[in-house]
Amino acid sequence: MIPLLAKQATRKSNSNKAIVLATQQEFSNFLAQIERRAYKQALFAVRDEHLALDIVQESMMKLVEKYAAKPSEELPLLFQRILQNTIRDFYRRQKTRSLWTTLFSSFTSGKENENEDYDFLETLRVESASNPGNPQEKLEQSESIRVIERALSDLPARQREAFLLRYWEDMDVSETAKIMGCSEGSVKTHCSRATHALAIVLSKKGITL
Amino acid sequence: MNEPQTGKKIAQILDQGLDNIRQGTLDRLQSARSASLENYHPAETIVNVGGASVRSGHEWHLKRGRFVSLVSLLLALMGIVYWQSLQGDENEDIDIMLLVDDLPVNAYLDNEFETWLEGS
Repeated sequence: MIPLLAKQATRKSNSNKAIVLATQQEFSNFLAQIERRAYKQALFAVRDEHLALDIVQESMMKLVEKYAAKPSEELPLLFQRILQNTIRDFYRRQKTRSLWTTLFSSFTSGKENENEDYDFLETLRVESASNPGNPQEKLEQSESIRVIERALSDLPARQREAFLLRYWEDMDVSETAKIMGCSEGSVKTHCSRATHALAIVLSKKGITL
Repeated sequence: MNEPQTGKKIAQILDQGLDNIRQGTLDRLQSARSASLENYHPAETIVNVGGASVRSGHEWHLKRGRFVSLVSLLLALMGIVYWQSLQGDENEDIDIMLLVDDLPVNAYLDNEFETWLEGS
């Protein structure tokens, strides 16, 4: 019933061209399509699986709650904007939290080390090991993935954001600038620096593209 | 290889990495998707009247709630300021009495000492 309502509820633009709103099924398909990349993006940024999952869930919730009345073509841009803002919110919260933990470090010193046990590469090693068979090609591929993911995590946040939006999410420069809230020139600079840094890391590790 | 080509190649490798996500994580992503889709209510968000869109329901209530909270906060602040102004300074009444009285202010200062001087 709800998808039918959504189809019926159309907006008319100035040129009287009807825009069909995204149905629940379209939302579902869209989220299924982007959820893995969104999770990885969040993981590169926060380096914690649970936090990354929370960020993706929060972003999905916001998209569906606030933008149910948008056509499906606008969903990728909206979702990316929400995702990047949610990641930034995480950084802000982390900054505030670290300020308090610094102030009360004597009381919380024992608990602080809990998250430090997490090794970003550990999960990848387990994942690679769980795959049956281990041919040379597959090993090289997983090594390339590991190196690139590690290098991406080590990039400055803005460079990583620009690179992933431009080349992984396939956004153009102006869309990326809108999502990041900066000029197109800044996007180009961030992308260029990120690609250069990644290329250096890959060549140092002897990985050819 | 130029920058866009390198970027695309790296993106391809990243795509391959998506297959390595653990099943537990994929399950959690799926449940997150299902949970978010339960909040899908398109009919409440926009009501269309001709060419202009009129927002209704949820969002309007949120805005009204914020406005009411803001007005209540302002009224509370005004109340506090008014109450403080009513309290005034404790010495204010004494000052007014001294200034309005016919006697000079000096008369209140050390009366007993002058009386003692005159008597001695």
